[in-house]
Amino acid sequence: MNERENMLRDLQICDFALIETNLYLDGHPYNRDARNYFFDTLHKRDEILNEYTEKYGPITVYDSKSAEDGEFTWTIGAWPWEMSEEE
Amino acid sequence: MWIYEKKLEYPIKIKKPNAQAAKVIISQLGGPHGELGAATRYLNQRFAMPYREVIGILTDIGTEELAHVEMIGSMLYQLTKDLTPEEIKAGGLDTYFVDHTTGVYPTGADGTPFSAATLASTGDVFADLNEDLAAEQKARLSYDNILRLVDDPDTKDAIRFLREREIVHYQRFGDAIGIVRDKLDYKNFYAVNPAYDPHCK
Repeated sequence: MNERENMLRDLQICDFALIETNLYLDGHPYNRDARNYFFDTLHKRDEILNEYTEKYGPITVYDSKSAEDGEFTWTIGAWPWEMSEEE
Repeated sequence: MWIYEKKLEYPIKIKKPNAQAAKVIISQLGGPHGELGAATRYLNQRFAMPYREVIGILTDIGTEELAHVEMIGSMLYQLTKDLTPEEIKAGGLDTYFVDHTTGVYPTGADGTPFSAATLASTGDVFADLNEDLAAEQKARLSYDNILRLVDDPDTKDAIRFLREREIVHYQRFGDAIGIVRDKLDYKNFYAVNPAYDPHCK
């Protein structure tokens, strides 16, 4: 795995924990442990997301920027199913 | 409203294309127990659901199912990449290839195209939630069968992840039925639809 994939993996790990906790909290909205875990993980996720989008480009279209040559960055780079081709 | 994230829910990296694996895995895209049916079922059932926590469960599981649709599509893309016509014939994918080449089309493994006839949205709270519990078990059994039919470790890894999600979703729909039961009037012993029948809250 290259460095970008490593950081993406960290983001996917956080997001998986958030999905799992979100589903649990839907049915148990007063569970304090689950709520704390959700917000702690969300905080960690934000940090990784910021670093990732700064280095490697957008995850959602709202992270997009103007590239140096003026190109909108959303469609630059591989799409998720193409990831295995870049090594 | 949905927002696309440019990443998969779980990484898919299948190094060895395999027509035979694609031929069976495609059922979890467009087959009777597939992810497209799951997303369609839950996201549409939401509108008849009177309880906001359960709408949350339907929304969030339905959204995750959309991520699974993308995972299966990614697997099919990687499993069929650069296959020769000979490899496609040998893997039994020729009857698919003739109309779809290696494009991704939602169909069951037996060739039946995706159909909303495989799912229900009844407007009845208990009918829908029991359907959802059954749907998760049916998806899990299809993943079990796929694991019996494929050998490649990269492919099995992603299929195992999806199988485990069916098990978790089954638990969460169990929570949903519990929530609805707790809200029912004790006189509605036989669980008549609280979404439509005014005296059956």
